[in-house]
Amino acid sequence: MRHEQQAIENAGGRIVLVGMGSVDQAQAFIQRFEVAFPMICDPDQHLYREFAVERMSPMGFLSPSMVLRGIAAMAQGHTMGLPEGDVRQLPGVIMIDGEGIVQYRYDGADPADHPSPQTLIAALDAIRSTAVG
Amino acid sequence: MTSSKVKAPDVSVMLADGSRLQLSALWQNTTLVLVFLRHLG
Repeated sequence: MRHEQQAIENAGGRIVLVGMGSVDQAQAFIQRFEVAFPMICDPDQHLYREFAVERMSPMGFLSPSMVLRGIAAMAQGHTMGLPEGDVRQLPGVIMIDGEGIVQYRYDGADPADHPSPQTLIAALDAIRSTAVG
Repeated sequence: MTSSKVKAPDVSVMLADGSRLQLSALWQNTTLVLVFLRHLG
């Protein structure tokens, strides 16, 4: 992860996480997972709404892809904890350039859908080349 | 790549240390990569 963080920073990106928890919950998360990024606490999901980060439909949990992902996760030894927070909130990534313009966004199609570091680095390269050009 | 090309909202945000700042402070002289999590953290 450190290598990927360095690669993203070398490509001109500054990663900041946004979580739905309180300050106490964020600090516990940072300590538990040794998070090296700044983190925004957004318990009211104000920022999620500002950027229109999508939420899953009520029936989304029953979609075939979600069921298969759940089975795969359990097969790997993961167990299901008690749901906390907004369980329908989907992940997403938004890139904002130095002028404050949204240059890229990735909306997760399901709770486990995240862009790869390579995808993010390619997006940053494209943003940088556009700015230079 | 999905591009929106719209101005980002410059709202006040709270960091994990309890301090507050304008979101624009995070995109000065760099490209801000906001990663929206599903976790409470």
